[in-house]
Amino acid sequence: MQIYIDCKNVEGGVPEWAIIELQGLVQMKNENPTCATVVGDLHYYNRNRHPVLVLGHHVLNGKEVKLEQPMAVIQKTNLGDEIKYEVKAVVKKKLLFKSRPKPIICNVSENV
Amino acid sequence: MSDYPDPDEEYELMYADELELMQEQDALTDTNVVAKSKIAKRSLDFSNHMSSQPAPSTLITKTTSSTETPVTPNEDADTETIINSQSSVILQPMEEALVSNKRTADELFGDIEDIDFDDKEMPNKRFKSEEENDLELINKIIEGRRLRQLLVEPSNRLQGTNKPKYDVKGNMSYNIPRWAFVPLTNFEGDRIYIRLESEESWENNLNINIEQPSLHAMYANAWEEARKILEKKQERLIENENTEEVVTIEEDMETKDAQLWVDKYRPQSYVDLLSEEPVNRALLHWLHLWDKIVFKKEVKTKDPQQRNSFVKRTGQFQLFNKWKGKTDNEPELDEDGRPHHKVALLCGPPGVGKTTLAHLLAKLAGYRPVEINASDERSTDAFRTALQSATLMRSVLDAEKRPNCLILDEIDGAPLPTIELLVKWCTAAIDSGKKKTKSQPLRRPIIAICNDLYATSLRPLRAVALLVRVGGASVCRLSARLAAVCAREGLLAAPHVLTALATRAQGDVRAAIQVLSFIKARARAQLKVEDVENAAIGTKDCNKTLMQALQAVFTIDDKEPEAILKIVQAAGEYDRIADGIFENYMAARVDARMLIACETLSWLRLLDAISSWTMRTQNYSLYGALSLCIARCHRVLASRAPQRVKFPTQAQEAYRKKLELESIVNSVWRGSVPSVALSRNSLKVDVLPLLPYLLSPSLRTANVQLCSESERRSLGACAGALCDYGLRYVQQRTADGLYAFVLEPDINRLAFYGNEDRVRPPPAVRQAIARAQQLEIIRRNEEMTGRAPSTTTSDSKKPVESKKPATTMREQDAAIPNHMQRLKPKEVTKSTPQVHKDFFGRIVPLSQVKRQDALPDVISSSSVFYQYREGFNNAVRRKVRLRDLL
Repeated sequence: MQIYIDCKNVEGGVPEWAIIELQGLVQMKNENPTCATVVGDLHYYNRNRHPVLVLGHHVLNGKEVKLEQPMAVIQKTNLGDEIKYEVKAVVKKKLLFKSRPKPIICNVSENV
Repeated sequence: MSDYPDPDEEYELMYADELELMQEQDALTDTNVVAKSKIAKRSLDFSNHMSSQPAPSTLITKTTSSTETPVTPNEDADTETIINSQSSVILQPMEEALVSNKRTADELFGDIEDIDFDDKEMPNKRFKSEEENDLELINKIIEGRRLRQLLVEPSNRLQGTNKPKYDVKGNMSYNIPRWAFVPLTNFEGDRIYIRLESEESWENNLNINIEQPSLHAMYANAWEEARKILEKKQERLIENENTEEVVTIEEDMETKDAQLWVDKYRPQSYVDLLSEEPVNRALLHWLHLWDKIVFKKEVKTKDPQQRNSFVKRTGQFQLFNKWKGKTDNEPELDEDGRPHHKVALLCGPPGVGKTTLAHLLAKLAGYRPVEINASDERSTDAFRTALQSATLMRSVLDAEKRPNCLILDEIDGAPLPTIELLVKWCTAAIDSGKKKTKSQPLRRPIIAICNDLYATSLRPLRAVALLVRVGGASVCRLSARLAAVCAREGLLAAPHVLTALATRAQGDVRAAIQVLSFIKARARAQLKVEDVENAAIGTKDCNKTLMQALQAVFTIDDKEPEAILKIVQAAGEYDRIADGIFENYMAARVDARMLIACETLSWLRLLDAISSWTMRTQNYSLYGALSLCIARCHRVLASRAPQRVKFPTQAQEAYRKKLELESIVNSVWRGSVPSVALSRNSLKVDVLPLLPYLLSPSLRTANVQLCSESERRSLGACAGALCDYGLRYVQQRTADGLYAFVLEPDINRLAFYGNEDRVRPPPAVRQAIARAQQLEIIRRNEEMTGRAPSTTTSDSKKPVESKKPATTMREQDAAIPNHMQRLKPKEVTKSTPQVHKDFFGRIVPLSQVKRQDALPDVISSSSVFYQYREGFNNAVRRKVRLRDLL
């Protein structure tokens, strides 16, 4: 069976995404969130372009790793009898956060 | 038979030259004979002249002598005036002889500057005249003594009459005499024959001088009176005759008095030494053994058989001979060429001349003596530098560049590390050059001097040193020396006085000479017996040991009844002497009604009271009474029978034992649980004597499972008691390799003095008890941690008496097995809210604190948090399927 993949939808090419790989678990305080929640902030240091992820009260320093095999993110749409696949993004690299996170101490009281 | 001449001929042959000489003399001139007779006559004349000469003339001769020229015209004139008809031909050789004679005297006596040659003319004649003088004096003295002896001891002292007669005419002759003789040739060429006496008669003469003041007490009064009379008489006589002489002597005395007599009459040569000959020889021989390494000279070592060696057992020098078979074959030199003993250790009582001996012999052997005294610093560092400088270097200033010989005086006062350093220094062997060690081996002799050979600090040195014991000088030699000193100093002293002094000094040369010096310094011309008796013989370094003092306490001393106080004071340590008396008084003198013992005890009680009062108040005003108490004890206890005194050890031992038992009581008292706590005294009196009975339950078998209920109960009670009083059974390895359970602390020793094993349980039971106790400890710990307080109080109220609840408790515990039991977490109580305070202590309102906290809480309050998984990536990597996400 042949599958046709549409890859000309966006002008200027397909956007490039990245995988975030964490060594750990991302957990929620209240188990069933009612609304969408912000997981964390991802930054890039300008100097050596290494990613920094602020997750809860942790700061994670990571690095960019090129994937051996690039991946494509494909959206499948069911249009009646015809199934249409559309490439949404290409993934060529991942951001690997495998080091131990550093805590952010926010409440340094004055009377310690 | 021409080969064998007849006796007459033989005689002529033997004395041919003498006969010839005589014939010559006879043939020569008549004048010579006259002169000869003149000489003999003149000697008498001269003595008369001397005694009757007024002072000025002797003073003149003195001035001539001070110019130090042997012969002066002035003197010539003088002699010519004295000698009536003397041809200058004869006079000339006499002057020569005078010079030569002086030289020989120099050689013989060494330093003879003190001897006043104030009248230089004819020394031999002068001697004769002096002898004549002496003779008269001696005759007078002998006369007096005989009188006195007749007064005092009529039977005993008759032998005094056969005093040696120093009769010049009888002992010397120009013709061949009949008695045994030794021929001598005069400086003039004349032959003189001097009487030869046998040694026995000579010794007899010497021995006459030695008189022990025996029977003194018996005839004290008569003796005293007679002596006074005699001495008065003697004094009168002597004063009449010798006033001039004394005056002249005193004049030149003043210049020399700066020196102590002891130093002045220090022995100058080997023959002057007063110590015993074997001692001198041993030390000198040892010094000569160093010659090989110091002077690079070959040393003759004696055969071990002939060696004069020192025997430790007898403490004397003995000459080993071949037949005894007792030879010590240790070589005198070691492989380095150094003597076997590197150090000589001289020991002996004070004042016998140890230091003098060491100095003199070191000088004699060619060394430069370097002395380190007690007054010098004796720390280890200072000692090391002194040792190095003395043994490794040599003096540059000294013209002769003699090697050093180190003399360590009074070494028994040095601290132990110093002695150890010395021993290490001595025993270090010469290296073969492989390793360059810092400390060079000893290459110079070291002589150490001590009073007490058995001082504890000397123990290491004693093993490696050559021990030389210097005894006191013998009475006869000492008195002879004292007589010589008296003669030189112009102090008149009868021989018996000097003998008494020598006896009293007990070989202490220094003390004896100092007594003489002291009497002289008081401007007295004559030494009397009272002086000697009243003289306090020097008490330098006079220490008595504890045992000497104890021995003195228990024996009656007939010679000096009052000496006990001195001895006790010299010994010090009154409390230990008292201990010694207490331990020995029952063996000393016992009477049936124990009166002596009572008396002794009362004195000891007084001593104890005084001593404890002194110690308590630190008031030493009554301290002097302690020795008096001991002296009183001596009065009560002393006997003539020889007493074997034991060294006091029991007091020490009892004290040690008491401390030990006290410590046991203390540890039990400390270790006991509060519920059974008692005062220390009641614990000691009421509980501890009975505790061993509680701790020895009577079990039929050691296996607890097989025991009856009552046995188990008693075992439990025992274990509880052990816990309560902090006792334990500890496994200890015994000498024969087995393990035994030992109670610690060992209260059995405290409970039953002596027989400690009385109620001690058998080993198997002990093991069972130990196990039960361990269980009990665990149980109690659990009780402490977790149980309701009500049960513990009821349980440990009286654990010893009411063991029942304890055992029931244990049965309850047994229902839940140990491994099933769980610790229950403790409830955390909510603490009261913290009150915030600022720096000045003011309470900050809570709202403000909250606000401050709330501000940065954005991050920490975010709902998402991250949980890091440790480990390597690959290990924790988990596959996530898309299916799971969608």
